[in-house]
Amino acid sequence: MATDFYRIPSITRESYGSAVAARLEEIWKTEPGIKGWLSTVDHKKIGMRYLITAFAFLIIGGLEALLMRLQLAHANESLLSPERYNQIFTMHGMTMIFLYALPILSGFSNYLWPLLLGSRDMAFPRLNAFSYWVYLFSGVFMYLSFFVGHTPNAGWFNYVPYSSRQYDPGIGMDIYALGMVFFGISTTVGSINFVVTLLRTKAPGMSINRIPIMIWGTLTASVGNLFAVPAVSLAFFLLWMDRQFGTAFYQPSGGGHPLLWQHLFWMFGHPWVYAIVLPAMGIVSDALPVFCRRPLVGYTIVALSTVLTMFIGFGVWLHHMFATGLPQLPLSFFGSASLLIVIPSAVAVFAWIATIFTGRPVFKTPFYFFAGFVFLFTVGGLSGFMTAAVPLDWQLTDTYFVVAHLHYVLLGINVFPVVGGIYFWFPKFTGKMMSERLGKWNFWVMFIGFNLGFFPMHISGLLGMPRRIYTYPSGLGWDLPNLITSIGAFLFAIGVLLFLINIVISLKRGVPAGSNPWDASSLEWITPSPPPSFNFVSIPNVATRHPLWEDRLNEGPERSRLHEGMLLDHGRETVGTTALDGEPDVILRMPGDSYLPFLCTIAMTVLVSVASITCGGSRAQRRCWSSLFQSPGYGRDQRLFKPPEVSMDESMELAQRLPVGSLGRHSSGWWGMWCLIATEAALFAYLLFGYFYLGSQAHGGWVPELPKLKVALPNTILLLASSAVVYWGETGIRKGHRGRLIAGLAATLIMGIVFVGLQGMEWHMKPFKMTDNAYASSYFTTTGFHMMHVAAGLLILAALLWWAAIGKFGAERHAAVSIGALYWHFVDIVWLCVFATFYVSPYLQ
Amino acid sequence: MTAPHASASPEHPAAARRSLSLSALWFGILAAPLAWSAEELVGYFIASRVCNMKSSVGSMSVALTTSPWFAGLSFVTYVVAFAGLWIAIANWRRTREEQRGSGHHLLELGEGRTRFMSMWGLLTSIAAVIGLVFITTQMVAAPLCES
Repeated sequence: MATDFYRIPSITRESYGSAVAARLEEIWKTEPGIKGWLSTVDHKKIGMRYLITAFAFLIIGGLEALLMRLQLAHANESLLSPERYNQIFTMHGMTMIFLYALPILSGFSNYLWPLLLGSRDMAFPRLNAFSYWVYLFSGVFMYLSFFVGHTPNAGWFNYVPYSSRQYDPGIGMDIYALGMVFFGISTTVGSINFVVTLLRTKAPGMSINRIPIMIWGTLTASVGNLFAVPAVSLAFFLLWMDRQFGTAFYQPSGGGHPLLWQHLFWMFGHPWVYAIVLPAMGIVSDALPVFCRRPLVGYTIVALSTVLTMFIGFGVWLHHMFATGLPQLPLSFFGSASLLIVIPSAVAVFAWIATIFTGRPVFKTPFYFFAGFVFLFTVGGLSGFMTAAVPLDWQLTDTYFVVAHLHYVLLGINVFPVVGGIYFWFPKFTGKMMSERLGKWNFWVMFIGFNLGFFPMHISGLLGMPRRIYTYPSGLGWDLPNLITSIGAFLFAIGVLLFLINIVISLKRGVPAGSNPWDASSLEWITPSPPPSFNFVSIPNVATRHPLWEDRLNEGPERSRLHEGMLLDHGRETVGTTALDGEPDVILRMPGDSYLPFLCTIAMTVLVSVASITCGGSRAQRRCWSSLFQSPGYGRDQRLFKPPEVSMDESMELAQRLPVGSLGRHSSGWWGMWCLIATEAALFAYLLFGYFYLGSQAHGGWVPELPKLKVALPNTILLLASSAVVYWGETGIRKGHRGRLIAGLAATLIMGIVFVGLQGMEWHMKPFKMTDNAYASSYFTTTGFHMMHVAAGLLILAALLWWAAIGKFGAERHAAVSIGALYWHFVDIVWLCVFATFYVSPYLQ
Repeated sequence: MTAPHASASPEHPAAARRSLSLSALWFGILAAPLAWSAEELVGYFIASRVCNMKSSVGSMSVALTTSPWFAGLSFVTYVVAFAGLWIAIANWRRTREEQRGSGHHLLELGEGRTRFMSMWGLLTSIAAVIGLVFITTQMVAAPLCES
């Protein structure tokens, strides 16, 4: 047994001003200047970038909204042409919903998660940086459409056929489509990072019943995104295929169906709505109790309601399609689910009200924003509840009533908690307090402006004003509500301006904050303000849900050890713990700063820009991918430090020998692969849903001829057999048989290559082309996607084979083999589903 | 080879973890909600299929009387949901020892992780069974194909 695979971590009680802290700073610090700016993987810097970038997009989207409100302030206004108005409302929606609403919450989560969890960084720091760069570049990419003269103009949900080439021939729609696929990559890798961070890097003792609600919110949103984002990425990709290559997914003339777009879009869209509010609700659930001087009422049930909201949210997409002529029974199913979802939302509202009612409120600026949020959430929730009723929805759909509901929900539940959250954590971010006086002005102007702006939209809608009209005639009763709305919108904008002024003034002249200015209860408040690059000198041991309020609450005899714990200073390290109970089970070695996330994003941007001529990933891109997933145990630029002399004390007996790096099967990469598999499985599920949906809409003759099994069946057996072979190799290395691993990997590689060859032959033998009809489009796209996954699997197998040949793996260290084998099993199982769908199901018709 | 776990905190956060299995806890949490999901999504699929053959089914017919598929689906989902509820109740009872105070304490202050998960199971199972009753009511009362 190699002894350096295991270590007993030192226990320390050193404080932030000590020599140990200085050494940790040396290990974790980011280089100054442009070099550090481009290469940093510090979660706090990345979080701050998310916050600033998302806020910049909020301002851009807000300016677009003000333009629209000027246009609609009076009847028959002509400030904007109809074409420009369509572009503005499309970009406004896209900006606010995609480029602002989730990224701003990712900013909070990136900055705060490791601090809340008692960790030193996220699970995949480089992936974190990559996620940010891709987000930034995708946003810039989509805004480039303004400069090429063809801005997207079919609304943020981009319904086909408005967005089809026939009705929208410009390149703007293609930029939107590819930009959204690009953006989806950022969201997906960010989500994987959050999920694995929670599963792996909680402080010792922080079991799932002790994590802050904000963690529950972001975790739920991230898991939801893993399953929802593939739907929209696929919807946009298929649209792009229809537009560029003439496939027939949405073209009725080729057997496709425009409603497929709506299904895919809303399968994503509704969970996305929850993804952009649940973390914000988490902000309130954690911060509001601080100003009520008591814990949140009903933690357990609020945490559950967070998860349940997302779960039910996956079963309500059809309520966006109530007016599309669907059978009545499914409408009633989805209507009842939409009513049911009110229950978990209401639970949270009652919990907040009870917390305020039973607490001793301290009326600071963040409290105002959180209390205002509760009111707006209630109004927005009630109007949503109304539209869950099918008959009423038929009357209200596509009217300004829905616009009012949408803004109460998205602005009210997102912007108010976000601004309140910045007031709350600004002292931690900067070390300065924000101005209370200006803050209260800020709140009242925003709150009054918001309600003045958006409440009259309910009236406009009830009076029959349709959404997305660029002007209206006078005399319909719409003039006054629209004028009031426009005045309110500008007042709201002034409120946002006050907020920005407060930030600038406070950064210059703010009162020093200290480490815990609000007397809050969670772990981030034990660090200095702003926190150092390494977050914690020693990893805290958590014994309760409110580690900083334990003496006050006196829940029991246990006390957290906040300033005594594992030191972990042999390079960038943090402790890995078990998923449910936070038991330490590994010392994670974290990768250092790197340019690769930035360079990888540049490469991807070029790829997306020339997507029509480039189909495969370049060598540089492959290198980027392998680097990004470097985390625990794979850092090549670890700055190793000699273990310091640390005074041992009685708590040393708590520390036991722990594996170092990626030992064992359940490494961070293993969890990351499971997340990737989940999202990829969802992608294929949506593809197969598309197949069955289009088939169900075809009136006879969906499958042109019964598929021949002569090649496909043996090929399927070959691929499934390869799973057994790779498993044989993997079990071999677990027992230390390197030769068996090499033989297994080589055989699997050969079988995979043969599969690719036979599948290519199968494609060649097909009597139809991809563009002939919807069935052919579906067949070639689905099998093509699978082939890409096989190709990725072969690359992984080839890399593993090389590493096995040079002796990188052994009985102790073989996590990469387990991860690669897992991916290969997934590829094989997916093929089984594809085979059953395309080759077997036609025989069952 | 596995390494011994270091102590996580002064007291393990899931004192009752050895008295019931993790799979029982997850079954209690997930079975009934998944049954509800299946009822909704598969019900939608069946309704779409049946209504595509509208000529053979009266447009005002109710689901349970026109298609044995609906009855079969409902039977299976109720069995799974009640199994989930039953396990959830058993988990709740079995983790009683982990409780430090009353249910009030569990909601606000936090107790063991096992107790926490068993309470989740209880709540999700009850909510999902109520959801199933909603759907069954619609199958009995709502027109199937009329749009």
